[in-house]
Amino acid sequence: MIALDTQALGLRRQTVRKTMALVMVALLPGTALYSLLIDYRVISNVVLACLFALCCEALCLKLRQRAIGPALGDGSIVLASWLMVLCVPPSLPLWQLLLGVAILVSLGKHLFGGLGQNPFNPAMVAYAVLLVSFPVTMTDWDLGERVLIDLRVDNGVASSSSSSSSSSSSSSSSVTLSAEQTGDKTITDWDGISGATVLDRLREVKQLAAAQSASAIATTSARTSAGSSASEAISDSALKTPWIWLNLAWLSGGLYLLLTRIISWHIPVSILATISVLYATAGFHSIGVVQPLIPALFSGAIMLGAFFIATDPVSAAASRYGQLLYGVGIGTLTYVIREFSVYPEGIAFAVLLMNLCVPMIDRLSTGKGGRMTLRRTH
Amino acid sequence: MAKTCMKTFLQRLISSPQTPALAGGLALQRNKPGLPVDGVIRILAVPATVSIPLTNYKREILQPGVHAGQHIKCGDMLAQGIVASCSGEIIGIEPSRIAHPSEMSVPCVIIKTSNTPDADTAVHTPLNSLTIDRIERCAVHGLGGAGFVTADKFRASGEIDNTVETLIINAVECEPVISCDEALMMSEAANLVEAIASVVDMTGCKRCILAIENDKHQAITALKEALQRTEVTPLIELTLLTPIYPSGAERPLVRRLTGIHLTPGTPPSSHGIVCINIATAYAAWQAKLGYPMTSRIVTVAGKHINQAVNVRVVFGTSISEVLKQTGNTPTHKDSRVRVGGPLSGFDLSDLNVPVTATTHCITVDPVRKQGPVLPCIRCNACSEVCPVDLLPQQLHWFATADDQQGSLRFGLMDCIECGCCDAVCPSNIALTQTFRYAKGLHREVQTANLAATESENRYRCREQRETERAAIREQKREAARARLSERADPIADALSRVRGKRKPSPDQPAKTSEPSPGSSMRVNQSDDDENDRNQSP
Repeated sequence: MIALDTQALGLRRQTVRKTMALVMVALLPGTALYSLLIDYRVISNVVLACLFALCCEALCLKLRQRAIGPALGDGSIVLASWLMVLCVPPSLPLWQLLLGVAILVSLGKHLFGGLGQNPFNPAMVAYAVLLVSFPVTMTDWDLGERVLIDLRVDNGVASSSSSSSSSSSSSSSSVTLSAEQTGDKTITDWDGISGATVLDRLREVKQLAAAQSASAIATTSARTSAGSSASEAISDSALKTPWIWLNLAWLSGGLYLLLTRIISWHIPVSILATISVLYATAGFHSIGVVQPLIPALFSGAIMLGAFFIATDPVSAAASRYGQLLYGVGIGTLTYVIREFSVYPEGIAFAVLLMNLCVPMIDRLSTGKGGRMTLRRTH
Repeated sequence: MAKTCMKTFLQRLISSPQTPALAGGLALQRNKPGLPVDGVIRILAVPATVSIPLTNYKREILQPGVHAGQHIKCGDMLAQGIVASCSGEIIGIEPSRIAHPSEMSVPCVIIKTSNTPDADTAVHTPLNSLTIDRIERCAVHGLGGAGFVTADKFRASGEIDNTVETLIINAVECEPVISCDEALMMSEAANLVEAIASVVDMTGCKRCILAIENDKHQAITALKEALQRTEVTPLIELTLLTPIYPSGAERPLVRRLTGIHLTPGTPPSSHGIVCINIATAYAAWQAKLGYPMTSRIVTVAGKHINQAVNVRVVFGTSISEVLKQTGNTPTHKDSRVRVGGPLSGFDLSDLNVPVTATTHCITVDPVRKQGPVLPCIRCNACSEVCPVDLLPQQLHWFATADDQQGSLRFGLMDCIECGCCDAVCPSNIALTQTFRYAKGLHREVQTANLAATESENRYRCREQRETERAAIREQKREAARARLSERADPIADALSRVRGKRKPSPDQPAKTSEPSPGSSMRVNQSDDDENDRNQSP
């Protein structure tokens, strides 16, 4: 017997189960806030999805003729399906949600050989499959009544975006709407309002600003004023929604994970830094003003993605330097998908694409003899 | 001002304030049982028989220079680099188990010890200054854990550039439970300083670093006192290190002290560094005084031990004898005996294995419960603690797939098998064991490749020889053909040759002693006659 004698070491080692449990603890405040501020259905969705995931996992293990007990106990599948539920709209029909969970367990995890073997983040695989299969329900972000009241209070750009058509991803149609048009319309005139995550609003406002600056083409001062008003509008619209609180909750959960050393700072910091830099430079380039970064960072799934999804160790890069590269890649791809594609949020596809590159990154980021080129020293 | 502040802040951010930098490692709780209370290390009685394995640190079998029935004295050479640890009669040379994780058997010289104990006198004449030959003659081996031949270390450094820049005396006993070096330092500090001085004299080094962990307070105090008392040791720098496992391993220690990153291909001697254990230095000093290395200090500890002690044990004493003499024969049913520390050691199934130079610790503990082994989730806990900057999770992936190329790319041979990754793995994976296996496999493949290349070369050489021979034959044939074609009429030529044979020239027949075609013909004729006779009824 040549195994280690850890009892004599007096070393308390982390277990896989404990790791997963800590991540779930970090998810708790965000989930609670989500259900309180935005949609109470999140809670039931999480519970149902996790239970269904456990059933699917047991079935897959049985089909693969593996021991069911330890694999169910490690909590990895519960965590993955929890994360998936947080990424999809709470209004998603239950059958679609459960289908997503089934895809997560089978396609995302067990097709590759179970825990630790999956090259892609299972939650993101399921999200991507759902997004391309059910684009309408998957982008149906109902903001709820309380949000509407918030929006009615302030006029201008924020309400303009809320008056856009029900499909949140049809941002092109909202270009025609201007702030003046919706001035005296009241909420009660509409049958119902849905759509528009902060991301969509950002996009609309930007296009609006571009149109304004194009019309008032003459001087740079006009352009600057248009740009600054647009950026004010953006921060206004972003900060008035409950999403900012949700993102703050994800951020605090992420910081908790950093403090308990479940994750290292490399991936989240590099993602956030890349996105900030890209938004700053691009904003400066297009409307002449550096856009406020807070709405860009605290909108959509950036915080959840940077701290909880991209840091999934199984599918992320291993070395520190590689993790930085991985984070930069995710940040860039997220920005590109957000800005130049039909999808409102890009972090899921960015994570999946970067998962593909992980073996290459690991090879590139280790020096001669497999040594890590960047690391902490005692 | 602000600039320097910023600089120091950055440096602090990057590394801790001490100059030596070691990436990774574990900060383990201090656990050193069995340190001598009164400063005396007990010497265990020599048992009735001792068994000395005929193998070196590479586990090569050595040819014995003695035979059964021979009477030998303590310090006599049994094989190259191996001496008898006590006087007596050799009662056999037979294969026997040794303390090795694979429980392998090697030929052992079994000595029935003489009833009269060895007088405490020097075997060799004491020397004024230590020499490498004396170290070799006294069979001094590294007492740290690898059991390297100490004389070879000094020779290797001499071969390269003839000087030893830095001599590192390793007193960093970083693994928990093991406390034999610390016990030696506490009880023999003055002698140790003298021993180090004699090794410094021999090597002529420019710098001598005595590295010790800063939590060995009593040992440090004793060494400091001894250093102050002796005048001859201005060279010795006592360097205190924060206790981080595995600082005591050679490569991490050299890196922490000098910043030099040793790779598996380059021994420390190629940088002008020699690194020896403090107990080895002590043994070298004993060799100078004329005593061969015949014993070592062993820590006996564990939960199923009545009282943890450090005792001096003669090589070849069996583990069970050590436990018996210290009053710790395992009585519990669920006891397991382990040789080596909790990280680097291994459990024994047979207690009748001899103590050798590498047996620094024996522990008796309750049988442990093994948690279930889960798949790797690449959580990076292992790469955080790896002291040689590897990615054990990547390495594990390739090693379990028997992918030699991949595991070599991720630094398989750089692994120092310290066990840090095992200790922190949340999935309970035996990483170090996998790497040991992969290393063994790699070595096997290498040997096979070497043999294949050799036989290929042999085959190539043979082919070349054959073609050369064929070419020569062809040349000869060509020449003969050319000669033949030169002559106009081969028949007439042949006829003239035959005629020439039949009528020898008149000046030759007198010389009968000279073998001529005629004489051989005669023999042939007689043979023919005989044949004829045999055939005739």
